[in-house]
Amino acid sequence: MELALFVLFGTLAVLGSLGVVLSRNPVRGALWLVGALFCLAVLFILTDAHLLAALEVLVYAGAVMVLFLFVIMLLNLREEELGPRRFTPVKALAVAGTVYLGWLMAVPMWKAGRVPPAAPADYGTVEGVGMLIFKNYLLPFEMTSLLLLAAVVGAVMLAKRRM
Amino acid sequence: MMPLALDILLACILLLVFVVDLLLPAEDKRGIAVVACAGALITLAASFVLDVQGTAFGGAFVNDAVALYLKRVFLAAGALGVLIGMDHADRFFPRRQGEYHLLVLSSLLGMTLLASARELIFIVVSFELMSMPLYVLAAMRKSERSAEAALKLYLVGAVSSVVTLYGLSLLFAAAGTTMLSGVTAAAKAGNPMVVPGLVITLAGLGFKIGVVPFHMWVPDTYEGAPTPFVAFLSVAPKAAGFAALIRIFIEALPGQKATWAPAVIVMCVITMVVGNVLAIPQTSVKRLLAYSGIGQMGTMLLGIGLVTPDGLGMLLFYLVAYLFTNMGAFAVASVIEDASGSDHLDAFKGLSRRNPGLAMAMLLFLLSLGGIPFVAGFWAKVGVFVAAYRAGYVWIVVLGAVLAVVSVFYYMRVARSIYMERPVAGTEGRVPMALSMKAAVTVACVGVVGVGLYPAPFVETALAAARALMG
Repeated sequence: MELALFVLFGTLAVLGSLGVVLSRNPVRGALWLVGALFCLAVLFILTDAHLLAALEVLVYAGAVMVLFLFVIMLLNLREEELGPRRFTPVKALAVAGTVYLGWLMAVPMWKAGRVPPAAPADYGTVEGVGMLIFKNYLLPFEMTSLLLLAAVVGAVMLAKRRM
Repeated sequence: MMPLALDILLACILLLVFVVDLLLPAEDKRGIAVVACAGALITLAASFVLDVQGTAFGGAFVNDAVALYLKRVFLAAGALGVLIGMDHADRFFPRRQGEYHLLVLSSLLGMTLLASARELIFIVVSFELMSMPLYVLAAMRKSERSAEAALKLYLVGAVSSVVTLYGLSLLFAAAGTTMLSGVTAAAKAGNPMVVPGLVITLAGLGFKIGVVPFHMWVPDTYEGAPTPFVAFLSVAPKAAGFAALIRIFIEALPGQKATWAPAVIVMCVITMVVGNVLAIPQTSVKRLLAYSGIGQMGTMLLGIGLVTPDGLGMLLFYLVAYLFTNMGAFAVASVIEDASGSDHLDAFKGLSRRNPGLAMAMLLFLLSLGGIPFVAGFWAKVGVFVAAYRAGYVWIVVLGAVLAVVSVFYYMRVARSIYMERPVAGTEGRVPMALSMKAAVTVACVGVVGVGLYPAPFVETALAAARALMG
């Protein structure tokens, strides 16, 4: 059952990501991304990371993607502005590179083929994640607040272009 | 004393700058730069006075000799960067200079934390804290070129962050823990995920420091971004990229060097050749310095690829020499650009008559970049190549010597414009310089000559730090 769900939603996630890359219309691309993120959330549930799954749907598939769609619609791109679809050697190289990289990683993963160590009892719960963030990863967590401060200052400054 | 003291001090100064910005009137915000510069200098001084050695957060944060050495390099680059940008910011974006210096300091904080990071999430977050402000800083000038430079830097930065993150996630998959010590253990146990992880991480970090084949963004970004910021961008974030390389590759994965060291050596040889050859036809001094900087990155990367204490120590020393030299050269380019509105080679013509002191300083920086004896850059180049010779790479030493001659050729082309040619009509007047810029160029000159005449203390500290790390 678990394996079947994993294969199903894993395939859907890959297809969704391909849709993001291949669709010409940015709105369609964004909608594909919502689908891919949703499938990822299901994969999180399958690994017992329930809080992460909820956050993935709420924050990414929800809030962030709404902003994405807003921006895309504000830009109001028309079909002719997107330019013709062309097949270039660079793109072929990129595809070949991706396939090679995938093979490079799939082989060791296949060989490794080990069951990961059992997760602790509070794994994936709100309490467990909270303990991790505020104990083990307190320093990166606090740094994120400074990172956000810098990002906000920068965004305000770029948006408000009056000297 | 707690190990985090320096970083907390810098964070407090960052917030102080924020408050001072709100208190100062909108018409005159020059005080902020003084606070920012003094803050970086105070933190630098504190690194010598306070005893901050030790680890925190269960080994995730470490202040060993290498971390302290790199922190001092970053703080010196930050203080000098603020000093170089002081006048430019006041003239071209007076109302936003508070944000400018605030962002420089937050980038600086990311670097000082990165130097101490020995845990994967910590590395990623400090890398982002360093990079995010840089994207904004590149877009400070209100021009299309500045926006283009910022966009290129942002796109490349974002992609390389994702690539690095992906590589690190594979290392995490191998180790089952985010601590680098766990990655070392996984590598020892022969986990097959380690190799793809480190290859992808290497590519991501290669983008960050701009080595060939990941260098395309460097000249365009340098050309379009505000020049005083480029002085900072060309030195400090590159040094931070090396900090990450040192932590992940030299400290955590020395056992895998048979896999990654040849790749690094190949990258650095190609980088040296491409950077130096492409610098020859440039007529924009900023682009010329960008390509020469790529070449210098190649030479520095050799210090990683050798995987010997000598090589690493000489890389650390090279960073000091490069700091004063390259920041000085970009400071001079900034003065010329602000005075004449161009960084074309023509704008430098006859500089020896228009401002003899500035011409002398630029000559000094060019000599140091080219590696002419008895200025800082000479010892740096000699050191790295001696380390390469000792490690058995004689062919790289020969190649490096040839490329050094090539580089002297294009550096001297700039020097010839400055000393041998008449000023272009319309630019004969004296080149004005603000007091802060005079101070910055003087500091850079003193650094280049000082390190050149008396390199021993810097070399010894660097070598001691490298030996302590590599055992």
